[in-house]
Amino acid sequence: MSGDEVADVLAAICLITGSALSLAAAIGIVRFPDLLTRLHAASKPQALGLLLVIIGLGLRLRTGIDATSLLLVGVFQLLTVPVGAHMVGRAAYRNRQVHRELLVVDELTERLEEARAEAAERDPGPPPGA
Amino acid sequence: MRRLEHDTLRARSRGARLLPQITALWLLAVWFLLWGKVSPGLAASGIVVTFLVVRAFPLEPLPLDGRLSPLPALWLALHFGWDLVRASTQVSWLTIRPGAPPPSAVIAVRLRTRSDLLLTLTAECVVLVPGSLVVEIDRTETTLYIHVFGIHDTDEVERERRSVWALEARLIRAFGSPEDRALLDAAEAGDGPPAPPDAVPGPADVAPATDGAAPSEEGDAR
Amino acid sequence: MTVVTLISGGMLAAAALLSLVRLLRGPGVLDRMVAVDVILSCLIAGIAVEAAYSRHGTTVPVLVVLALLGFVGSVAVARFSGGDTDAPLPPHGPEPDPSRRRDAP
Repeated sequence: MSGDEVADVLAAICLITGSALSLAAAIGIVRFPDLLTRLHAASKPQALGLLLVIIGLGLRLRTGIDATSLLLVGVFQLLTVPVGAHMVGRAAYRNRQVHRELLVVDELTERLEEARAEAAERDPGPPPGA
Repeated sequence: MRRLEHDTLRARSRGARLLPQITALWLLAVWFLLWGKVSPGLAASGIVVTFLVVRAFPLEPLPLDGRLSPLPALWLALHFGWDLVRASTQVSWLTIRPGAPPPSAVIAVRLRTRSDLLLTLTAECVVLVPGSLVVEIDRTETTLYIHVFGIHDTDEVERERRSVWALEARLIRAFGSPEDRALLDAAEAGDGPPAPPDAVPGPADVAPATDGAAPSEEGDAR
Repeated sequence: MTVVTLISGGMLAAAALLSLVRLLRGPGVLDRMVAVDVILSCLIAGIAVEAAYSRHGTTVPVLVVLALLGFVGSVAVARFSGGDTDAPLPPHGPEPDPSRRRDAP
């Protein structure tokens, strides 16, 4: 088997695994019960899946100019997916779109309520952040 | 008060002046990667574009007093790649597994580092390692609030906290400033982050022996 | 390579259709944003699979643009989805200390 054939086989494996991970991410966002768990599905398998597809494409094309652009796509993905997931999760929590009954422990709500109680003790006016 | 010292420190830091240059170098690298080649004309136009971007969108100064250690950085990269694969397979298995998905939790993890850069890096990495997603960041207390998928009891909460601390430790060993490394060493000697004098104990530190004022796990319905 | 393309393309199409279900069902704007994000990444993967099949690099710049577009979209929606999403956490401690606020100069 020549080097080109090996690269093609590796590319095929990467493409199929990557697509399968994308499919898993899609199944996850349909099946999971609330936004935060859906974000788990939409961040991890999706990032790795896209990375694998990009690697597969790079192995198939094997030219310098495409490789640099594909490297950029991969780097951007790894940098932006966590930030995007965090932004959406944060907005969800602050907009009360989180199903608290699905949480075993919720230390952020405890923390916010403590802070609210302290503020009310100091300044018995209208409650902040109501 | 610590934050005030920190802010004046940041304004004077060596890294605060270096930040535009580092941003410019990164932008220039992106420019060459986009074109896929290097030539004098491209370098000239790239420098012009970079200059305009850095001047048009100035960034807040950030103390960059970290030291790069190559071997821990390599270990961090390898471990991160392995974690990413593990996280993806774990979540994929949960999606196709029959039955209801497992319960989850939101936990507070107080980090040992005091630097914004390492707080950001840890938050970025936490999203891509198994089971966790950052929902809120408390910058003044460098505490991450993490949504963890697949948590059933408090033992698993503590294990998850430890794994985030381990991730932070790898990051500090790779990029941390001497100050961060000292904080980490002190914390590891005592196993867990030291509570700063100006903070009340976090929820993790509330001992079960206190009276009924401590919020229970299910009792605090709003 | 044709078989590989068919398999990956089929899986990506199924993924996009499933995300469409979530996009239609909602319930919130953020759920829909997550669905759009997954559809966009399926689109990127689909374009990449096509480029790999016909072995041409014409569409690679499109991938770079799309990779950034999804991020800009989800951050914009998350920020402007209503609610108090920009405020720092309330101060936490024995007494309020304005210098600890995030937006202190």
